[in-house]
Amino acid sequence: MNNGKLANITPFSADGVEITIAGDVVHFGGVISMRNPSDTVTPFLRKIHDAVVASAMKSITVNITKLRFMNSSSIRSLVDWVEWIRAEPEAKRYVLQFLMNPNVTWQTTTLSAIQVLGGDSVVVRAGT
Amino acid sequence: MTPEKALDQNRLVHLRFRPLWLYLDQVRDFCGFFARASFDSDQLGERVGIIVHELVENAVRYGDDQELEVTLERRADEILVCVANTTTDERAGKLRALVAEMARQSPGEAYAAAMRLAATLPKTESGLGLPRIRYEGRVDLEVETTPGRVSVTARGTA
Repeated sequence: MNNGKLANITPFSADGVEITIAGDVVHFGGVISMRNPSDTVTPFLRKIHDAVVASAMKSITVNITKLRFMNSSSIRSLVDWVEWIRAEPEAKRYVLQFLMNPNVTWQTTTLSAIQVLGGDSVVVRAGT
Repeated sequence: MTPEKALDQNRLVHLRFRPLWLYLDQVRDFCGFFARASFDSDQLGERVGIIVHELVENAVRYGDDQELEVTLERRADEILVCVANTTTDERAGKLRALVAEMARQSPGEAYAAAMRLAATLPKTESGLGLPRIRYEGRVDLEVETTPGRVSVTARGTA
């Protein structure tokens, strides 16, 4: 898989959250409860989106099993990500595959709502 | 037992503090802990954490920076979270109207609609907090206003 552009992205770390990339998996850890994620988290996710599109990848995995909490302002960042995919021409679209912890209720409920929004662009499955 | 005493025994948490973002994570975890311990339910602890976080976040964003109260009560098999803060009457009226409008849809429909709308809002807004409380917190919301003050009560089965 050609994901070289993804590998060049520097990990994100601020205000209790870490977002790292290993291969074609984006790992979220900690707590995302910042006041303005649109200034920090959203642009970082946009870099990932641009790299995935440039690499012609057909899917990327987002592992949130180690994420303890996410506020609604940060859920907006994920909503934006889904909308960026949907705004791409069909040939450039890819699938966001979320890995969540089924024992953490908010992960299940939040991702089920995002899946409804994203349709075929979003897959949710239990991870470890 | 007096009604006041009975009320006190239902109360798990009562906090009053200046509404600063700095306190948000601690208040969420603190209230979540009390709900989890009182009902012996991790799931309820998470739900209360979401409810408290989103209500306090709104109070910090849209309040007047003066005073905020959080109350968590257990009533039989019900959980009740109340967040009250000082604010302008205009803000309080907008919140009341927003909650009334949202109540016309089921929690799932309102959350899905808010998700669709979110990406069209200014980047500093999400519009997801209150719909999320109803859907993920599994509670009904009520708003009460008095001059210069608004309180939002979230009530649901524990």
